[in-house]
Amino acid sequence: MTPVLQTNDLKVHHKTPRGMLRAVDGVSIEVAPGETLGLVGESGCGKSTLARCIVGISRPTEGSLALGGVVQQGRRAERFDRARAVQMVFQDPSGSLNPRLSVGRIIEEPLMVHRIGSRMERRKRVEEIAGQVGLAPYHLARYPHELSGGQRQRVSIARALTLEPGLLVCDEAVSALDVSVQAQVLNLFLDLQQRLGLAYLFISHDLAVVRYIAHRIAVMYLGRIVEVGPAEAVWSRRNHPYTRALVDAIPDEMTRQDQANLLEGDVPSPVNPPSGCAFRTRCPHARARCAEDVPLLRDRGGGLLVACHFAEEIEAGHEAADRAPVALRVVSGGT
Amino acid sequence: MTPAPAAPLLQVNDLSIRYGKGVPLVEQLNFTVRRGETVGLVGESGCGKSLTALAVMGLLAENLRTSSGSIELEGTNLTALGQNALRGYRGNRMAMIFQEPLTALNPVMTVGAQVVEVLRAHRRMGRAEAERRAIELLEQVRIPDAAERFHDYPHRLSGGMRQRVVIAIAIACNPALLIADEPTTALDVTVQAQILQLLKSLQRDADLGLLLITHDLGVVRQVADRIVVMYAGSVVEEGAVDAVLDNPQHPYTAGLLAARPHGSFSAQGHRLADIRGAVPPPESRPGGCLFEPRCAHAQADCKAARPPRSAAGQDRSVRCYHPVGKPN
Repeated sequence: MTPVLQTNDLKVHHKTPRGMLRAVDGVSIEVAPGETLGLVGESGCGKSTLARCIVGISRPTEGSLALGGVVQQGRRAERFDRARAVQMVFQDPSGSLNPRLSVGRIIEEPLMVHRIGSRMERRKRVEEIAGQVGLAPYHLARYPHELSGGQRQRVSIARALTLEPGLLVCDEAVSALDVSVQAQVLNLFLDLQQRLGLAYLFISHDLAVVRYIAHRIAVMYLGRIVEVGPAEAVWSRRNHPYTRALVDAIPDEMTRQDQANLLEGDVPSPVNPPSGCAFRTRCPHARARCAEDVPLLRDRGGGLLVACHFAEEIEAGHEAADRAPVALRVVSGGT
Repeated sequence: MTPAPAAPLLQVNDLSIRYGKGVPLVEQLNFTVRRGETVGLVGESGCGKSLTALAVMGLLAENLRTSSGSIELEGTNLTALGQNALRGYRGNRMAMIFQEPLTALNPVMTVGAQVVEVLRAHRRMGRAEAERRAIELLEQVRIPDAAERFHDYPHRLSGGMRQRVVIAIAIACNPALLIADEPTTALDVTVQAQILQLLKSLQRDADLGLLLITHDLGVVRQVADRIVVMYAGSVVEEGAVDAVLDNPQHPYTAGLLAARPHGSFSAQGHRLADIRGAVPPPESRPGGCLFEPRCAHAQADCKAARPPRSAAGQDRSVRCYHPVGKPN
């Protein structure tokens, strides 16, 4: 099957007074039809730039990008076809909806721009899509400010679906929502995927959300993918020390132990990234080699690709470490 | 001034907050924070948790007022004090950390000068002494090269470093009570973990009472000793963190826990348990149990009147006619 999205060594560089900012620095990813690829990373890692590049808001400096097998040349004439291949759902629904249009009109707008159907046909289609995302017909006459955050996000999703794209890029689409509403919207994403065969590029800083919704996970750090593979393999094998740190940093509902392996410091500037492995300045396993060789993604079996020189050693170390805390917990539980 | 050891540091009694003479935004709130204890105040947006914090600090907007109840800090009723008297408590005895450090800091003052300002205003310190103390404070919140960062403006620092500066300002005068309103929500997870660890260790060293306001149950589990769950302006459940989160008795607490993403859908195929509907706005809150319209366990009597607090005054209480989970 042709992947709905394929990037090859995609780069987005910006000139700044302090030097070249490498927001996205050689990313190759693939999303199959009906599949969810989760993309995680901290702020400044380039995940939003990558998303904007995929939907065509910003342009790649180098590398290629294909949507549904069609390589994008970045010509203006491509915009209409591109809009039918991929759509985006943003983090803040109040910022991404026009406050002066009714909900019905917001959802209808893509059809109007693309000159699809008569007025009556468009109305019918809008009602149908609104129903699919769980909005009632009376919502269509309302304005965005009259809706709750969760309902507004449903409107954003409905608008993204009107042109029946094969791929939705969701950039922190549930991050601004309360937990109970977040669960409603995550369930909606799953329903829509099952019904419409949609593929998602699901971007989030929250590894627990991504693990729940994604089939595969890609972890991004300073403009590069450092680990990618099936969701459960990435979550449980954690070959890359950065993935490990992300999982360790999740406030754990199961344990109150102070976590020993917190990362030191902050993400370095993408203008002057460290030489060799970009993560080495915060990595507890860093050695001399990490400053010299840039680690490339290597196959670690089971579909897992990891960009770390010492992935084998780290995975073996985890297995030993993961056994130890179990014993600890039993002891502390007895007191 | 020193209260008896049994008296809590902060005691909020039957507190209601109103907009003018209108409907209460927060009603009949009761909770306590003891010395050296971390209390997690949890709830979704609009439940009144930030309003409560602002009321304790005496920072409510002018059109809002505490219409009944009392807020006692170390035995003094703060609601009875005027703004001048309150100023003696704010900063000295209680301090607050906000969600977004960039808006909490003054962009045209160096971070050092902002710490110095607090020390000079509250402690009447000389300039040189205040600067020395400010650098100590920046070191205490683990800002590397504190003496150099002292001269930086906030925009030069990362989000995590900025929040450390805000914390340094808050603890400058050794307050007894620290209120942290979503202190890590704007930060990345790896930085969040660092800040939580810092707050915890500062608290231990100074025997601080910490009121931690958050929407994240994971954060509460990791940091807090007791938890107070709010819904639509009311406390629905409170108790020791492990007791409440391992065995929630209010359907809302149970619903929040179940709604958190866990496991993997593609591997296990489970849907998240969402809570139907949305939080009612203050003017259309139901007359009976506040959670009744969204509750899967609601029965006829839930519509009649607000459920009372079970075991009021005890450590563990719940406001529900038909609690779920195991009885205590």
